[in-house]
Amino acid sequence: MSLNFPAFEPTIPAWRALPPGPGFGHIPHASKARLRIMIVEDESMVAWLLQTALEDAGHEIADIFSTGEDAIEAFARLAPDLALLDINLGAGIDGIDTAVRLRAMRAIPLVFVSAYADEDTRRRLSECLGKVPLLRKPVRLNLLEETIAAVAAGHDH
Amino acid sequence: MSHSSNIQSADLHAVLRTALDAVVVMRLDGTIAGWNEVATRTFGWTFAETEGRPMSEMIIPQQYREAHEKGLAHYLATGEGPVLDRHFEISALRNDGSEIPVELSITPTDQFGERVFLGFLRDISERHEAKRQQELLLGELNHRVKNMLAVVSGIAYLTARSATSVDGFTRAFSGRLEALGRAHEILTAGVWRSGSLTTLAEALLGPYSDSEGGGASAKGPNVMLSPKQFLSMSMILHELITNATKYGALSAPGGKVVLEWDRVASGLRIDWKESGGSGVVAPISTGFGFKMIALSVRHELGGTSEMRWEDDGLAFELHIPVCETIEGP
Repeated sequence: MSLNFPAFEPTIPAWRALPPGPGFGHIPHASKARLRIMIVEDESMVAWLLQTALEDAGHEIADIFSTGEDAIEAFARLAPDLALLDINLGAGIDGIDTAVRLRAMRAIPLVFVSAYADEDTRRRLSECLGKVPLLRKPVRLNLLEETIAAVAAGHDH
Repeated sequence: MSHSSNIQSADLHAVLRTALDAVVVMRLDGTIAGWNEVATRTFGWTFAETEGRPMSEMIIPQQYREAHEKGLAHYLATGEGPVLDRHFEISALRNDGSEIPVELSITPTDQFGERVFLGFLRDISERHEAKRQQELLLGELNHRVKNMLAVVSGIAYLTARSATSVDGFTRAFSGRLEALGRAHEILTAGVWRSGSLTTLAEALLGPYSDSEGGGASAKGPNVMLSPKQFLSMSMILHELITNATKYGALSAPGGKVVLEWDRVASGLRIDWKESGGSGVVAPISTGFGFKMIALSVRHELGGTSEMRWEDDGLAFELHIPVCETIEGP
């Protein structure tokens, strides 16, 4: 059975100008690869949706975390290829601070999915992490898959 | 008490005394000639402290002083003033250095014996604060709506994956949305601070209660849950009820469901117990409902749960940590 998801316009992908290279967490020749993805999302239903959709797309979910602190603690052990993060994680540090700390450990491709996609958030995201994609909730699943593939491959799609 | 210096006019005194706004009288040389009690309350200066001093130094913030001086000079040269005889919003300076938003109108007049400017200033800090609060609320509402749409997308996608027919999907999806809607109603009634578990249980189990001892019943102290806990509990209870009516105790005559909860040392313990159903068997344990319950318990409630299929029906036990529990009245 197929469903039509709410047809919200996606965010203009800020990552289009992302230059390829190891410094930005580039995964060479990975656009069609099975990726090991870490999800940081405090809304269980959304996390489950992301997990299911990404598994359907052929990826492996390393684990799901509802807090940034737990994700940081498990990051080295799980060794994901990519981190998919919400920004507002309720209590504790938010998704942007979480990603900064993950990148301090290892350059890893990042994708954000959030209801907080206003200008202030974009500015902060850009200042903290450079050009990373921020998709608006509710996200279209095909856009999510395309974005993940493009970011992992380090090029536009 | 209202004050004006040198300007001898009973009419001006009456204006200063009776005006509900701060009134400041300025001479053509820019000095203060009158000042009422509301002005004293608004700006912190008394008339004695402001009399004869340039108004620009007293209540006009630094960034507007040059424009004020130019505007006054322009008026004296041409008789024209673009800010005269109309209302506009600007910030004004208090004696503690802080700035407050004011609505200002300036009128030149000769009726008090010499040409002066009458400035009426109304402190609109509360109006600005109310507007700021409204914008904050709208922003928060926007985020919540988007988050909720994302949740609904998830429910739709995952319900569709486990549905075997369009009718089945429609029923399951509608039921889940209805439960979510009801939880939102209760939370909204409590201004989204917390929600009563008793109210939630009554709303969800009420339609299945039976005065003859069967059906569904709920019992426990008045415990208030945070909005996040409350939404999770509403979905968990909805899935348990749906399962009970389709496969469990409520699917058979005489079947009973008892929901009980109590505070324990580690937080809150919630028990769901089904009994009396005939021929009740365990459903497919990997369906949407049971997976969602497990995920919600671990991911959102930070708790633990155990689900057992006993001889007479399902027993579900849930523990929520105390730090997330808000005591009710």
